[in-house]
Amino acid sequence: MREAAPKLVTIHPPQRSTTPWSERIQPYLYVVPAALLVVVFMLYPMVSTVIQSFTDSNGLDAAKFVGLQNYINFFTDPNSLNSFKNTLLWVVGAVTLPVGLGFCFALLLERLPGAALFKSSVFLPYTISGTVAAILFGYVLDSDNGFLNVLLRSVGLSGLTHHWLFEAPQNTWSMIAAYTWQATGTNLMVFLIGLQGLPKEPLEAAKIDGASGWTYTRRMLIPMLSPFITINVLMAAINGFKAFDLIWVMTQGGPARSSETLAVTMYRQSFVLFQQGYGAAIAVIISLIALVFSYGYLRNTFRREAS
Amino acid sequence: MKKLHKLTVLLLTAALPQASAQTLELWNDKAADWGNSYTKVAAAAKSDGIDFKQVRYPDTTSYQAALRTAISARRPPDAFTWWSGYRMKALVDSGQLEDLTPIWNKYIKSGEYKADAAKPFTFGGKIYGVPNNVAYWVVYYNKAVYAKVGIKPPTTWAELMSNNDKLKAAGITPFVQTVDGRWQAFIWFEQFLANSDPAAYNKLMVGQLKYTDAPVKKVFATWADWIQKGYLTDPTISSDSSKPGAMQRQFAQGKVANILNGDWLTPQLTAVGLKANTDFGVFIMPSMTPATPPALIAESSPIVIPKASANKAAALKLADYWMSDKSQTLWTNLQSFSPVNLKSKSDSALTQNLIGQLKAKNYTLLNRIWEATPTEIIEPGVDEFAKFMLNPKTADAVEANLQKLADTYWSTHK
Repeated sequence: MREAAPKLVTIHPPQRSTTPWSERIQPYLYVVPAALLVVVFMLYPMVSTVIQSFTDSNGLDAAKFVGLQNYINFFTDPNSLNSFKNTLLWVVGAVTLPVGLGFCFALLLERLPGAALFKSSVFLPYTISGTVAAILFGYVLDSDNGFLNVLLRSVGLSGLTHHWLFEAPQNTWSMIAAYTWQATGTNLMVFLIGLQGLPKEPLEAAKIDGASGWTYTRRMLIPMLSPFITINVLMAAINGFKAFDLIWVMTQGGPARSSETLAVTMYRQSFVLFQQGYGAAIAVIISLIALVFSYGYLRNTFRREAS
Repeated sequence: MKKLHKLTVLLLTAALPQASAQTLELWNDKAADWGNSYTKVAAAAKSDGIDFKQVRYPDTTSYQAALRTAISARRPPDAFTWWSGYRMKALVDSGQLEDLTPIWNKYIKSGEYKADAAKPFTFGGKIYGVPNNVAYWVVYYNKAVYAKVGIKPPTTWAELMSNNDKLKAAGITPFVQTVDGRWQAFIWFEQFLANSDPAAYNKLMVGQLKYTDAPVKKVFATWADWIQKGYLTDPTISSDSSKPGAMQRQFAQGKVANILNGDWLTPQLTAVGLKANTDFGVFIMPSMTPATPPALIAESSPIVIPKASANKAAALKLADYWMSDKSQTLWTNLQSFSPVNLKSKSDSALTQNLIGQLKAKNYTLLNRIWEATPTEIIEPGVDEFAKFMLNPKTADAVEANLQKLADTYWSTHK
């Protein structure tokens, strides 16, 4: 068969549009409100924060430019290292526990009949605010009469009782446990949606070929669920970096700053000490780190959309 | 960029509550019971031609942020509550507060106020606040426990130590110490220093003494000794009375005999079922040696008037009214505070008892450390005290860290 000859395209010189100006501007007018919202509530605060991070702003007097001093102060303060370590603990905890448990529950619940009640009970904590969860776990983890210590004493395990929120690093792990209680539900739902959407044929073929148990999960389910795993892991990592509300309500980063994370340090500098320039510098540092993770997440999302 | 910033601040502050020409607004961040009392004083003030209402922020941090935004946008409230000392200095230095010296002079001249009462609000010879409250830091003691153990409120350090031993022998913890809520960690540090060397306390607050000097080392040694002897509770005890094991409840149950606190604790103790002056009384901590001048920690908080107040003349009238015997009697009795106006009479037997103790000795009033020393030192400082309370072996490191904070501040602020 002969190939069709390529069509010649004639390029015309640009002509003046006959559409009236009022009509041409119309599409732009539709996007103006949204664009304005983005500029006022996202771009302006972002640029303003970066500029503030190079000043000694205290929210009261005229701010003076101090160059990189706030950044130097942050990197030379020994407490920053502790905040950074705790933030890493949060990232590791937020990724392994809620995502891991969510994945395991999804695998179990997909096969169990009548699992709707269990699914709802795991998902329900996600519907309450972080502050409420923090207050609730404050009672659970109270040193004297907290539910956990009372329970341990009542079953003869007094040796396992602890000052859960007063000793490092277990205070951070205790709060991560509270976070896990709250965040597992959303991970579970994402994995369940993923499992329900998987094509049946290759899975059945694998079963016919004798794959089962861990081999089936490792060789079939995990690779096929990888986009969902990526999303949950990246979102969990970003949430770990942002961890604030639970910590502020439960320990305020204490005692003796032992459970402080970068987000708590930023809040303390900005709104307790009113060293807002310093606080802005920490906000920029957190944003840059989160950006690295977001980049991975966004790249993954765009690739999938493109394919 | 500057213009855009100003525009944003103006837009944001347009959403803040604005004072109308008639009704003044008194912003505060106090608890709900304070809010009710402000409303009652406002109702009473109407008959005297003072028209104000309170605007209460339930969270201190958001209160401070909202005020700073309002002040920097030059749309401040007509009056607001604040903290004294260094926490007030930042506002004074930025030229935001109205000079209230003429009002004070009037009341000092009439003999209703001691000139000393204005000290925590005085900067460069000018007075910038009227007293919202002055709380004295006293020891609340459980009368039933004292009767059971056979002890009396101590008048000397030796008696205090003897009481501690007897309480300990009876299986009762003598005093509360807590790191819960962060700020409470400074309570015993300032108290031991005030009782051992009041002059050193004042010097330390303004950077004329080091945290590594002998008077401070003595404080940490005494504190460690008390912890080691079991005179103080585990520092993880809760200060939130809603929690089952909170210090107020353990005090009511007789598990702990004393709480060292500002005299604003009374309503929290009555809320857990105790009767003031019947179930509990108050005493002032004695000095460590007979030669040490008696000193008392006082927590003074002011109401201030911003220079840019939209209704300044009326706001100044409110400040004047607030200091009057009529207003102070109503306000302090509603709140069970010790009246600062010398003509005002407390209707609380507990407060009258405390005033009697105050008059019996010539106490030097020391401003609470939270306000008396720069925020940049004491805010991170309380975390250092907490470190020590959780592990008294860290005393040397804590002293050094505190001095580092002080050095950093005083090297740039003289």
